[in-house]
Amino acid sequence: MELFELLGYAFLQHALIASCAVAACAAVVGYFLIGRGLTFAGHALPNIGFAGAAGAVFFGVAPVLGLFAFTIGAALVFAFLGKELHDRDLGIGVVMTFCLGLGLFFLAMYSGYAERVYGILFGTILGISEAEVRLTLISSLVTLVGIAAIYRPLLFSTADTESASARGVPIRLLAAIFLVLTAVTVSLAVQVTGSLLVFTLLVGPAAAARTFSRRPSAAIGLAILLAEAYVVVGILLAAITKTLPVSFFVASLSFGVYVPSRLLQRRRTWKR
Amino acid sequence: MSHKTDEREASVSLNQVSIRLGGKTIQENMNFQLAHGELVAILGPNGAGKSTLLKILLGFLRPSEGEVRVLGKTPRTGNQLIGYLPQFQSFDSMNTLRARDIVGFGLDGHRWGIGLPSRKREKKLNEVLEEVDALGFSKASFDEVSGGERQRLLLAQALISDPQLLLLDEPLASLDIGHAQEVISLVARVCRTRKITVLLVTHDVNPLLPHIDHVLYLANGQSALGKPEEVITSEVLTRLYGSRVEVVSAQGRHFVAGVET
Repeated sequence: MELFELLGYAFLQHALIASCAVAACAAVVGYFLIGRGLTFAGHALPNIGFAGAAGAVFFGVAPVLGLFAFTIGAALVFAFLGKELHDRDLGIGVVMTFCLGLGLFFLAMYSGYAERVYGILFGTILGISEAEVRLTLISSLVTLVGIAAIYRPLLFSTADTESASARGVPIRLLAAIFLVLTAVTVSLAVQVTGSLLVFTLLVGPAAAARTFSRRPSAAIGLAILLAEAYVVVGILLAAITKTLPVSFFVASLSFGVYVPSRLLQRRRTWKR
Repeated sequence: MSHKTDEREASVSLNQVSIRLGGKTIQENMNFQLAHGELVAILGPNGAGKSTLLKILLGFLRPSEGEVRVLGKTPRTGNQLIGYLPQFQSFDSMNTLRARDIVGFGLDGHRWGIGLPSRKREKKLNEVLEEVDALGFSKASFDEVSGGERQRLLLAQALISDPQLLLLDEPLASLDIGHAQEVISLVARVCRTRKITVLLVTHDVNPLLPHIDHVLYLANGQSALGKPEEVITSEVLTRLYGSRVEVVSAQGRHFVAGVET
């Protein structure tokens, strides 16, 4: 099938529109997750979301609602966990594994299509409905506007908590807002990549972009471009091959860009 | 021993202040006033309350008793008239930020929104970078500059909001003597040219002696404020510590013997 012919299909348009919106959020959020040493939370949230989605399927409501409920709830718990990295990551791990267990419980109780669960784990972007596209666009817009609103104090507190606090930056409030926006992004990204592969879109583009620029605005801009490229190319390749899943291509692209950018990272030393 | 100044002129004043942390009394009955424009070194052993005092002046902590006034007001965080250089910075994976971006935090890092670049902002940044002699490495990242250069950048971050009071928590720690001298002369110059009050926590007063106006010595729940030669004496320190302390002075330098400093 010709590419142009493919682009005429509503399902593909929906997939592209929703993915592009999610990719932008994931790239921005990912930059701060890395800066704040929160990438483990970025891995844990989609797994926690899996339990929510499985529960939603079990109770017969839209999976995305379960995703929102569980990830936002977990984000608020994370925001109040200890500041010490060690304690915090232990807490995150305990919450995550409990939720995975809960997800398994819902699966065992559920007697319907296993396909819906498979979709949560590996993504269902090519089957996204118009209503879901709308929800995705609105939620993405809220996330991006939210991050823009707290951009400067978020960056300041990410770099230097103590100085930011002395300047009057509300550290805990910002941490909570940021984690909730991360939860929203993760919930949306689960549709594209599935909960197992969210990391690839959330952290992959920002990690690669950070090797190219030390300016936050430039690194974030590049991360957005990379994330958009991954999802667009991934969706088109999946549509062309018809059998291979989108998330496979997104994960491969993310890996394929990160590894060389890391290896080729100039030992950038600034010249005196 | 307390240094009396006109109430209106006082930059920092403590009245009957006690500090307790976790049931432990750190300081009791602190009474002193610091006049505007002074350079004051805060000395004392670990746990005497040096950093805690700065945190009270910043509004991070409240005293258990007594009244604290900073620039005529009760301390609260977010006072842009106070510049602060914390003892520890948590840059971690953000240490690839450029020097000038880190300095810029002091200007508008606390403001909401994205913030657009402007010529005025760049001018302000360049001025303060020049003041701390950091213009030459303003585009280097934080992990590429030396310890002394980092302190100069963080000082620029503290200065960029044109503060009336600078609180520096161990800015000389982990610097070799050459870099420490560099930071000290810079701090002294900034204090005199900007006519602002500077409180500097340190472990070794000797390199600071030519520059400081007063010493605030904290030990064993007690404090003493005065000129270095008045405070760093066997008599005063013995009273503070409550045990025999000998100050040995040689070639204009003071060494405290008999305690862990």
